Formats: sequence, structure tokens, C-alpha cells
Amino acid sequence: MASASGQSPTGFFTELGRSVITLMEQVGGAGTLFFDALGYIARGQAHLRRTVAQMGIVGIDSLPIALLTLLFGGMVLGLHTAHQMVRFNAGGLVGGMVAVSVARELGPTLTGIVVAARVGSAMAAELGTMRVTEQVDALRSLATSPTEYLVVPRLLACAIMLPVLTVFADLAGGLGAYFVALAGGVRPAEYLLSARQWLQFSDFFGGLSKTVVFGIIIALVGCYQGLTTSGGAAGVGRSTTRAVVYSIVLIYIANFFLSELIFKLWR
Amino acid sequence: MIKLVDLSYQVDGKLVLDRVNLEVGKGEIVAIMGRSGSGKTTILHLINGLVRPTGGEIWVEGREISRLNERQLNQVRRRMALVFQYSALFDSMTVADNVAFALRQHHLLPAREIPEAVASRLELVGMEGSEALLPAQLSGGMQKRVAVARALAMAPEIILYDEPTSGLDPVAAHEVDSLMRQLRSKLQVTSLVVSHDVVSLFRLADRIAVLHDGQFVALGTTAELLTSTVPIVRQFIEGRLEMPARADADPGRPGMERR
Repeated sequence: MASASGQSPTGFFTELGRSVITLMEQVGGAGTLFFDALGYIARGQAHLRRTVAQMGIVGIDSLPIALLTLLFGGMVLGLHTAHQMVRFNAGGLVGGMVAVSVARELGPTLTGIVVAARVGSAMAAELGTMRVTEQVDALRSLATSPTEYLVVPRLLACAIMLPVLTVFADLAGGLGAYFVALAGGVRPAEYLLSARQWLQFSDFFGGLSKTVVFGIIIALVGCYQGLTTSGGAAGVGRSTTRAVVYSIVLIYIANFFLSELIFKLWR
Repeated sequence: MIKLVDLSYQVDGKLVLDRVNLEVGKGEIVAIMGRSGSGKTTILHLINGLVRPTGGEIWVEGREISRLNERQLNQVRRRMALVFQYSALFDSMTVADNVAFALRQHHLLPAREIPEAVASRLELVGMEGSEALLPAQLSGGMQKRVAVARALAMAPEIILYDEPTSGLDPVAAHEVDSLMRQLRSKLQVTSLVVSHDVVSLFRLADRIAVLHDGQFVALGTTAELLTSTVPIVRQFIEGRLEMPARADADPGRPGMERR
């Protein structure tokens, strides 16, 4: 019997089952790709020149947008925090609150999202185009592993460059918040003093260590979506969109569990 | 050199190849002819290990390769090149980098000798002086030649050609055919050519196999094929729209050996 929406209960469960199978296939495929790539890295088969080129694309080319995002993100955070705290005569807490927020969460997460949108999509589009134009098959026919040649450099570049980008992004966020907080009535000395008192080594490095995982997620999802592209130009478009959406969702989920784990361990 | 034994391939419930058998000897040029979508390209991809068969065996130089892992397959691929239908050149690299790719990747030559090796491969295919061009700057025929030059880089003993003359004008097609014959006479390269260009195949091949409905319905020399009475073969050679009288029921009969 058809349901109100026009879909039978059997159809709903069939669709649900199909979605679960697709999800499991994607997770299994990406997992296999990850361990395959790790195998090449462990055997020292990472292509140095290609890895450095990818580090330039991930790091240097993403720096302006990461700085801009964190500068304005920090400014908004500084604005609201200063506004509320000054009202309760607690302007002396603003520097510490903002510094910890930026170092633990805002810097790593926003940098991850910026790189997922900028680099993860580009990886999926580039590898997807190579896939549908048989260039990936051509690599294999020339006795070259696409994992070794295409995935390993991107994986290493993202895992190395995301923490580096985050250091600069944290600084931009802190600076933005600082100037806006001063304009909001917080005194420079008390801002800097509270930032120094509140901010721990573990806040900064805990945040950076999360970005290594974010980098791996971005590269793995982008490469996997690219390498499994089918259906011509439309397929490349679908893979690119999926790469960005899946990366960002996985970054949100990973961020929660990593925050719980890392800051509990370092407390 | 190459031997297919009861080779089958099924995808999404559709049987693309159904227990196909074929042998290609050293230095021989064997062509596979058939309609678009008949599974010709799949045979080349199976031999190159790009897809796995669902049944049967693939023997290359005395080694059964259908169950090898990717690393073991790469050893086989170093002696066997595939020229793709749409060339599949690396579009972000120059012609020289495309041709030099395998030489660099597998450290087959010292870096200083690579430019000379690239130039000699490009000269062989009539593309000398094109080293600095990008694939997008080449015509379809030129891309095909560069793809052949790239395939020759590793000095393969076997070359698999997928539609080498499709999309080429008659003169360019003739040139590609001549190139394939030269490679056989100069380098003793074994070739398996997939095409539906009947004129080109009859000019080029030592033997021709006709693929229909996932099976070889005919296999013989060009002379044998020309005198064949198998309906699908006659239809293909004569380029007719319909098969001669009631042949759809069993296109393999009468008179031709079914392999």
C-alpha cells in the first residue's frame, strides 16, 4: 500500500538500504585508499617534487583566503565578546576568552573549512577530470599507481600544510579580535595580560594537532571522490560538490571528538 | 604471446564477453572488429589489467595475469603498452613530458639522456619538434601519434591499440597504419588492434577476429574473412544496415569456425 507521500514502506526501506550500502562502500573505499597511501608513505615512496608542488597549492595559495576568513572571524568574536564583557565590567577577560577560542576552535575549524572548499574541491575536480578522460587509466597502463602518483603527495601536503596555515590564521584571528576589542572599550594591557594568563601551550598545539586530521580528511575525500568519478562533466560536478560537503561534515564531526579527546588528555 | 582462455566479463548484470578465446603470436598483428559497444575495448582493458575478468584466464608471455595484484600487474605493464581511443595524454604536461613520463617514473634512463630518447620516439611517429606543445594544441591525429610515442617509451613487446584511426582523415589513418607496420618490422612488436575501421584493418592485420554478442563469430586471415559467408561478417565488411537473411538467430553460421 502506498504511503501518504506516494512511496510504499518497502520502497522506503529499499531506498534506505541502498543509501546505507552506498555509504559503506564510500567509507570502505576511502579507508582502503588511506591504507594504500599509508603503505606507500611507509615504504618511502612519496614523490618529493610533487609533494612540494602540492604543498604550495595547499599552503601558499590558500594563505590569503585563510587569513581573511580568520581576520574577520576574529573581529566578529572580539566584537561580541567585548560588547558583552564590558557591559558586565569584565573587559579584563576578553583577551583570554578570545585567545583560547581562536586557538582551540575558530582557527583550526575555519581553516579546515576554507581549505576543504578551496583545495578539496580542486582535487576532486582535477582527479575527476583525469578519471573521465582516461588519464587515470593511462597512469595505470604506464605501470604507475594513481595512489602513489596522485594521492600520496596531496595527502602529505594537506597533513603538513594545514597546521602551518592554522598558525598564521590563528595570528590573524587574534589580531582582528584585539583591534576590535580595543575599539569596544577593552584596555590593551588587560587584553594582553589575560590572553597570556589563559592561553596554554596545550590550547595552541591541541588546535594544531586537530588540523593534521582535518588535512587528511580533506585530501582523502577529495582524492577518493575524484578517482571514483563517472558520468562525464556532470559527474565531475557531482564529485566536486560531494567532496566539499563530505569534507566539511566530517571536519565538524571529527572536531567534536578530537576536541573531547585532545583537551581531556592535555588537561 | 597473448592467450585468452574462456574469458568472460560481466558488468551490472550484462554479459559483455562470453567465454572468448584468442591467441596472438609474437610479432603478429591481430585485429578485433565489431560494432560499437560490442566489448572490443573491454578486451584490451582486461589484457592490460585495468579491469578484472569475471571468468577465464589471460596469459601474457606465459604468465596468467588475471589474478595478479596491482604491483605484480605493473611488472607486466612495463612490457605492454596501451594506446587509448581518445589518446588520454596528460593534459597538464607538454608532449615531451608525456613521452618521457614512464622513463622518468621508472628511472629507465639517466635524466640527461631523456630529451634525446623523447626526440627519437617523436621522430618515429613523425612528430619531431613538438616537444614543447601541450596536448590541447594538437589535432586529434597528432594526439594519437604522441600517444603512440608515449606507448613506445618503455620499448614494449606488446602494444594494444584502441581505435587507432577513429576520427582521423584517410591520409592520417593511412599514416598511423604504416606506423604500426613499421613498429612490427623494426621492433618486432606484437599488436592487438581494436577498431571498426574495416578498410584500415584489412590493410594492416595478419588475422582478424569479429566480435558479436560477446563472442568471436569469426577468426581468420584477411583473405579468409573476405570470402566468409558468416552473415554478421558480410554485413560488417559490406557496411549493410541489415544482416543477410535470418542471420540474427545464429550469426556464427554457416561456414565459419567459431572460436
